[in-house]
Amino acid sequence: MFGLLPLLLALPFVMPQPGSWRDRDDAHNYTCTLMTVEQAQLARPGAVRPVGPRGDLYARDVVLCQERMLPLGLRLDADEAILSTLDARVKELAGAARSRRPDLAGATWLVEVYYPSPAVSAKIGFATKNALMASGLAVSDRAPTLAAGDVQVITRMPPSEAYPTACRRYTDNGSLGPNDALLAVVLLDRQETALHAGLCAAGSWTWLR
Amino acid sequence: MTAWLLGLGLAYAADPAEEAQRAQLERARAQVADQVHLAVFDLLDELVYRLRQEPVFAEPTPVVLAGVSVPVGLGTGLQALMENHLAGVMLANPETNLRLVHCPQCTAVVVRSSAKGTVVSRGVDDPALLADLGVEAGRHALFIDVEAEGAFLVLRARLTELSVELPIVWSHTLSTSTATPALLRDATALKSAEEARDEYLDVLNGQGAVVIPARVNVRTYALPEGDNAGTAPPPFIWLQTGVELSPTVARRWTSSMMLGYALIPQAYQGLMAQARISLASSPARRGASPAPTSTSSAGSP
Repeated sequence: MFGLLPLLLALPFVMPQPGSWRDRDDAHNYTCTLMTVEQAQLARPGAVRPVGPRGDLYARDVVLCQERMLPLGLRLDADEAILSTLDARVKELAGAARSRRPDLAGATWLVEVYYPSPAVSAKIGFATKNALMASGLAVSDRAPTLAAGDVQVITRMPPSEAYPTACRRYTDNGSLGPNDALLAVVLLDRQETALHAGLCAAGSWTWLR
Repeated sequence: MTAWLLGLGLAYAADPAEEAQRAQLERARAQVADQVHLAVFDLLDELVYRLRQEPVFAEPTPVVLAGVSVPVGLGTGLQALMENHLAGVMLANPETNLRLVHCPQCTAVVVRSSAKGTVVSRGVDDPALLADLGVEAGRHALFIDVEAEGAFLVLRARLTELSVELPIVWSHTLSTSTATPALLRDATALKSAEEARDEYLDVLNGQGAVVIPARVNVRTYALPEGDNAGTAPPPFIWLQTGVELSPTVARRWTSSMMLGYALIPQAYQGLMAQARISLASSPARRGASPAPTSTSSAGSP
């Protein structure tokens, strides 16, 4: 019984949740995942005691916590929400593009991102291109262009009309060839943290999500 | 009037609280950049190591370092550090077949006006214009992006051929986490995490199973006396084997073998060679430490 005393005394210091010894902001800077002992042994070899040959006296789970690379508050919350899960988001988008249009597997894919922050926009574009390459598609760094007059008209349209119109214009002015497919990653509303995606091929616009 | 001007001046002056908050934020950013840059260097080393193991090009190819971007929220100081480190490691590893070239036209913002319109872009985005400016054909542009995604630091790289269609010929994604320590590799001798761990264990275990000590022995034999005083023994070869126990060294046992030759009558000298074979007491290979994970893609659109 007394052997458990050091463990009980140390518990408030090692547990990641906010409490007497850890404030809420500090706790937010950890990302924690609940997993089984077997999963934890794979994730952190040697750090977790394995289940004994006759089992354990009590059921054990492992909460694996890792500190954030950048503490919260260094960038805008909206950007943080997008960037902290960027890899999973772009893989999902690349998978959706490939599965929805298998006929475009031989096309050259272009990527455009419509996001308020240019820095974040560049990050999303870079990650999306790498995700498309990783899924086996041919990708180009080329960016389709619109004439100044087109931009003036299209930017005054609601999103539901603007993107299909831009798609048609890209095809009409030759920016998008017959063997090109454009994957557009769009933030439709500044209040949301979901990224939408649309596909433009042969002058036809399709919302993927 | 004076009061109005004073009030206007105060209104436009920076709020001290806001200034202090901004200064605190900048300090926090600098501190994080200081902590993150070793992990960034580790990812760059790993990238060059993998490029050396599997070169993208069979021949040395001119490559322009077209873009290096750091995690959103960190300053350009880290960007300069990254560029310098990457250039240093690539120059120290010509086996990557990526020959860094200086191309100010490629990274500058250029304006091209024609009957179709005016396009403002970077040089690497307009290869036709680069050709007009006399930039050598066949170059590629290397883009590097590092981003902090939760507990992970992710490095993405891509190589784009500077031709009209701008095809991406290769891309790679590496990630490391806050729980993975940086390897701090030497740029001239890049190693994988597994190789570094093996070397570390070899050092701990005494450089492998066979140990050849450098050892000099001098043997002095007593001169024969008594009845055999006038008879010198002939030259002879001797072999000595045995088992050593070294409780202070992490080995189960050590077997040693000595082979020698001694010639007493003339020089009273001998030569000896010695070898030891040991079995380490600790397991030589355990699970490797977490190495950066990666995905790689190559294509030719």
